[in-house]
Amino acid sequence: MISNNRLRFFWVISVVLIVVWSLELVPYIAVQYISELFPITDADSFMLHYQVETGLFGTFFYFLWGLIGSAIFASALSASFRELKRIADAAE
Amino acid sequence: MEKLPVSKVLVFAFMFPIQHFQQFLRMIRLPIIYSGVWLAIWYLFGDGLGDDRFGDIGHFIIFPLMALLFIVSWHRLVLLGEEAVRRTYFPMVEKRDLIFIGYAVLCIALPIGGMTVFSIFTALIFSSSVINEAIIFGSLFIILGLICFFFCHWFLIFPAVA
Repeated sequence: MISNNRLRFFWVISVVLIVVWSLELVPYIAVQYISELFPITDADSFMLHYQVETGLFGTFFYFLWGLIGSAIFASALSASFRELKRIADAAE
Repeated sequence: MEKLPVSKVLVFAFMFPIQHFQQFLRMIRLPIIYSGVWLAIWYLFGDGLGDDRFGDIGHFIIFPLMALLFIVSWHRLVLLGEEAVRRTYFPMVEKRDLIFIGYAVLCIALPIGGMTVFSIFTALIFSSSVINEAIIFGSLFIILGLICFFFCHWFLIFPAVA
């Protein structure tokens, strides 16, 4: 039974991590598409690629984006912890 | 024994930050300010102080530290409610935060150490042909998945410590 819940918890972590990792890619892909669709935002003219990837703005933006991902992951962990504690208390 | 409600936990994980967006903005205020000050210093004086090393301090110490303090607060918000997450003072680090940081460092260091040892052994055993490199990389992912599976209950230490 413990291993069953372990497996379920593993699924929770895996799904959340994959979604958060996908979210981290969104701004990069978005800038790639915007740069291709609109010449005004071309990397050579406004250096959006550079700004989002490695520049000061990019560093700050990804830090903020990372906090959002961290909040999602921490919510999943806390919710699992609360549920597992409730299950353990009920079993006693 | 009752089973862990996976779908309920998943829905909660994504809905909770949306429902508590006001608290999220309030809680990221201090990490953003401190990180912003660091970035401003880096931008203004980075060249004079050795840009790479100065920037690495921010990337590997300041940002992760700020993120970890935010994560501790977020765990407290989920588990204990809004009153448990008030941090308006400097340097806003408590004993539980330090324990949390210690576990986080351990949690990062152990898989990296294990992967490094595994890489060295596989590099010694296999030659450097493309197929063998693919085998090594595939094995690394499998090993990483196994580590995650066997140590996944370890992650529960984080809300417990927070």
